[in-house]
Amino acid sequence: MENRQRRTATKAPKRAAKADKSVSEDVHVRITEFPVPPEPASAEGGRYVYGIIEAKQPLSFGKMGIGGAGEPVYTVNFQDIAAIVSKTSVYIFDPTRENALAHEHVIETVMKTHTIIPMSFGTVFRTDDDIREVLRSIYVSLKDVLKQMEGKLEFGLKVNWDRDRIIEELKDADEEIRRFHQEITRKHLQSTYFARMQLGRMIDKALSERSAQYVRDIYEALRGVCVASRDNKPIGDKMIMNAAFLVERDRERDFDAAVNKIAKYYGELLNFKYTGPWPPYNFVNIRLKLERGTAS
Amino acid sequence: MPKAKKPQVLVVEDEASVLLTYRLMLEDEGYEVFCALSSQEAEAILARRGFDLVLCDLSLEQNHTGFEVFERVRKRDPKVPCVLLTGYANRETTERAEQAGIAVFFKPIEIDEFLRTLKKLLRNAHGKPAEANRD
Repeated sequence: MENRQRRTATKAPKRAAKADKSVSEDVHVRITEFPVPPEPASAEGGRYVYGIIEAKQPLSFGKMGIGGAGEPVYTVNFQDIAAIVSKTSVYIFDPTRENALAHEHVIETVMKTHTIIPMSFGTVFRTDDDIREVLRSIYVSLKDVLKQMEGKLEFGLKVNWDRDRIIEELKDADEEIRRFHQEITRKHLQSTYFARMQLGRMIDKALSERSAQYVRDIYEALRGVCVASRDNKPIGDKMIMNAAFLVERDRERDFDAAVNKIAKYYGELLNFKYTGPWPPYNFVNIRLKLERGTAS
Repeated sequence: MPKAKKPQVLVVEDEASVLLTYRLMLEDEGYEVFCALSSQEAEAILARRGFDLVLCDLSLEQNHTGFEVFERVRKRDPKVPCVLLTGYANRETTERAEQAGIAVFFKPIEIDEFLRTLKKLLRNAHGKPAEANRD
């Protein structure tokens, strides 16, 4: 969901150590599923859950619930934590653009004033009591994650490169590649499969090294202004970096400046796509393992 | 005079350096090359767009084969010329390819012949001279 805020990066590198520590919290929680038979969907059949925050009192965030009916978004509280919810008449939401934007809009609104643990798109419970039961079951874990994420925001950074341009550079600048390429051309070795494959391997290796070096330099340049980072798999063959950074809310400007600086340094060679702030999707991973049991 | 459109070729090969080699070789010949490192990637690309020509290695990731990719290609457009690249095809594989009208090249391929064949396949399929060669 990169449709929120695309920041334009523009500037240059300063070396530091890679920001490689991650606070990814993988909370594996068992909750008891009470043997309540499914209820038929009524007008307000379910509760769509957007995320969890710290809140001692009930709060409301306006009429912006998912589903298009403008349902009020409110909290279901348990002790000093609360789920952000809205009523819904359906249990399964299609990930359409409209639904995804509605989900994001609520999270974005709540994020302005609270640290939120985002729930996955499409999380629906039957009743407020069911939600309270889950909050109760995993209270300690949720408090722990909320504490770790307090005052922090996530930013996404995808870096693409102009690979063809780099290959041309390598053909000129890399001594070994240049010599071999010239040899192939001069001796008309184009028709030799193995010579071609050897050149391909040399270029591929040089590209991998160059890409790894760029990624290292970018991480090093950002290490001082973030709390943690997470490396995701690049998408497609033009992307060399697909990372998420966890940043202190009050260091957002510093992070912004650092990204712009390094982007400007690389100029047209690398293209930086910088998005956020997001809730810490990449740093919080709460998996609920439902376990059938009897209510005591 | 308007610039001739480059023939668009999809190459599917699960070894990155070999894939890059095909890309460089074909780009040198004036083709616009799209690459996929797996049958899954190829599927995703083919769901979005078609190609003038598809080259695919026989053995792909996790026991997938080039034939699966060609089936997807032909489902989209039965006339697209397909070329199977392999180092060790048996008779059964070769016959299967021939029956499906798929050209087979054995590695190590003879590059001049390979490039000539691609041009010919394009010419036959699209009824016009290949415009791939820059020279």
